Amino acid sequence: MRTFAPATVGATMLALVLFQAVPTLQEPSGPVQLAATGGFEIRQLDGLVDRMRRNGDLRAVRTENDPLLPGRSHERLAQYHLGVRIFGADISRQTDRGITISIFGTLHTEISVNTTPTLDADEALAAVEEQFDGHMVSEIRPDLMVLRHPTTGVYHLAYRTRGWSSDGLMSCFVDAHTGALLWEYNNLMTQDAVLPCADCTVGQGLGVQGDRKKISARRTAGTFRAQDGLRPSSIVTYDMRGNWSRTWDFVNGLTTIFDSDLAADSDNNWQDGANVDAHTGAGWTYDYLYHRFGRRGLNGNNGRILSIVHPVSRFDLYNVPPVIQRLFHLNAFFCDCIPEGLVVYGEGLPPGIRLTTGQSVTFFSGGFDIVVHELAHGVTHFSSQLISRNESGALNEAFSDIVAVGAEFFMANSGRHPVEKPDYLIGEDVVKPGGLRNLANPSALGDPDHYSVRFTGDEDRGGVHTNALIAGHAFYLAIEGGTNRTSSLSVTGVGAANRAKIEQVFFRAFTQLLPADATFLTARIATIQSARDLFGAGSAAEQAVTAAWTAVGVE
Amino acid sequence: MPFPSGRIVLVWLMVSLAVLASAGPVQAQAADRRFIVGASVGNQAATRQRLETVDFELFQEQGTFNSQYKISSDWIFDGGGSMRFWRRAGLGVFVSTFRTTSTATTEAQVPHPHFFGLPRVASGTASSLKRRELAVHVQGQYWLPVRNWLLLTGFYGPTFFRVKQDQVAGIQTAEEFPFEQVVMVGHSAVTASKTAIGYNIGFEATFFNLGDASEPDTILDRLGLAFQLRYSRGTSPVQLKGSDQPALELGGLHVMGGIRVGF
Repeated sequence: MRTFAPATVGATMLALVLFQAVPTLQEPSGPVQLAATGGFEIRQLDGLVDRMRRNGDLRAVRTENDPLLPGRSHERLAQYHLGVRIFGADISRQTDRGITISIFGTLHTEISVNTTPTLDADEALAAVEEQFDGHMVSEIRPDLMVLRHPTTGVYHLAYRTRGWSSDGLMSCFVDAHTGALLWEYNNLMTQDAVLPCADCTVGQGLGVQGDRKKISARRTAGTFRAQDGLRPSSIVTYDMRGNWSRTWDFVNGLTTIFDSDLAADSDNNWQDGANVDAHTGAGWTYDYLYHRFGRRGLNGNNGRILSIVHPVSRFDLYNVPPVIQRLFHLNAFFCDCIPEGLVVYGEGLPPGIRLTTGQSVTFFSGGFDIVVHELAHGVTHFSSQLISRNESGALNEAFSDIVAVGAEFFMANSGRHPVEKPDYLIGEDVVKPGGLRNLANPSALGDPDHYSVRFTGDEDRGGVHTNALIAGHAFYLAIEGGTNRTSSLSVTGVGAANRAKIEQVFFRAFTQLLPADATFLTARIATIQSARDLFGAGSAAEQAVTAAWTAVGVE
Repeated sequence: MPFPSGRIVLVWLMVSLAVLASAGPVQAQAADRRFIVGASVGNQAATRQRLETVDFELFQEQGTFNSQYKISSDWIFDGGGSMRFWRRAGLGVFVSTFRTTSTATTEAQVPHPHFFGLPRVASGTASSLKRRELAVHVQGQYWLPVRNWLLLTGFYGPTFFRVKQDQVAGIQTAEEFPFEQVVMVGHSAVTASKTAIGYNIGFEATFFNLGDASEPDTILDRLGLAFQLRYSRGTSPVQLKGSDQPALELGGLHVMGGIRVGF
């Protein structure tokens, strides 16, 4: 029985590297943020990573070739302590034909915890069910992890599992010795309102906005089903036909869904706009990721993309529990409640009923930017796994907004969907008037446009949806240029004609370079590094990205 | 340019009457012949470009393809007979057959499977497209025996065509994600069969007395060698479903040589 081991990494060596040369984003105590992009320090840090890997303190999660830069590859390593993974501790190392170019990450150096659990996984699950106000997702087995409590800074051996509460899909950490619920956070990545063969066919349908579009379906037993057999990923859209209890059971792992639940049409002339937009939007998102970034689907390996539409009936607004109302009427969310993840699109409000803000809410899949936003959470889930709280959570949301905006412009400018009017608004086609967020002018909708005015409270997991606008606005400034209203600093953008460069810079940094517990400062350094990698040091892209982050107060 | 068939027949009759009216005395021997039968082989020189446009429905959208045909010169076989029925006026009926195989260059605008208004261009060739022309040339003739051994004949008259033309009626394409390119992997063809009335005009020089002139009744005396230049032309409308096609141009310049037997 192994008990109570001190930190196993070469703490002295690590400290030497971190505090002498490596540009670190050091917190007062606890984990160390690493961001090394060249010079002597990267060689030292590179050696340290290799030693930790040999010792088993860092273990490879995956290695991916860079689709935008031939020869480059990205290795993601998770930190372990005596064989147990440390929550939120990982390293991303970029190499060019074996030569290390950059290292970003979060490492924990002073861990002191007993790594032999007293409780087994079933006992932990039973313990958390007693304390948790909601339903555990029973299909997800608890993971044994080392958790540094975000409030106390104390390390615990804990089981992590997930469950639905009235707040959403919670990640729960229960003490592996005592069974006490240590910490929980909402891991539901949402688009919140204020309140691819022989049987492949191409049909057409009308979206929520009344726009005509082609829909890829399969003909099965005389009907057409929303299964895209033409793209490498299997893109499927399920229509729960307003059966909220069944939807709820499915996302809780209590029931399964079948082919008969697939959205269907009898003559391939689809009239249900919510189904049409969810299904086509997922396909278009696949196209954008592929063409712009060379990425194959959400997981990079053409994994299945699953969407759920009509999780509840609009007209059951006042007949369902509040959690259902909030999740299934007034929300869209990405959920990792099944291995490939899924997106649930809220139903919106019945005609004539408005939010307290006076805004109407239609089907959430009716906003292409919302569809992309949610699916981009899937990309994050399968890449950097930015933790959905505080600054990393804001970066997570910002990434989804950035990808959503990029996809909108891509679709319109490439002629794929000329009806789409590209802009820097999020959700304006669903929550009317106004939308949800404005990357061009965040303050117009009450969001911060500068780090100094960021939200510092606990709501919304540390303001992930509002603080996202700091990074989102930097993205906007790097492309379009302009003056930040708070700092009055001006930025020369690369121009709309070069928007693809900035999209690639951010996408690559957020998916390949950032660690899970990244901060805004890490994001600044990573995006600048990404711009250098892609377009060269001193390039217009690098200058624009640098100036944009400075303008929003991240430096 | 299409030529109205009724007008062709009328013109032919008027020319024939004029020929008959101008007929003069016929020289001996050559003038004695009243019937000539023969067969010829030669070349139909008719290099024709032809552009067809066919519309089709694919992926909920209209696509289109253009086929550019090039009908080339090829062998022509011809046979028939003439009869001098009054002075130098004669009437002939000859049947010719022309067969050739051509290749069409096809360029298609193929709708995108995922997006409206974003067609891709595919190109390819369709080979082994056959054209068969069977033509009956009815001729009003003017026989001019220049020498005892040389007969010149001028003629003009209507031609009745029957044409069979293979046409590209559809294309087969292959494509895969990301669907930015589409490859033409095959085509389907239909055979259009049409009749048309046109005209023929030309002259023939026939050389008789190939044998010993002192033995006028030998078979060689009745045999002759002929050289003929004939131009025939006709047009026939052909319409595939969903297509925009010009009429088929038929015939061409025939340069032929053959044998004749005179009686």
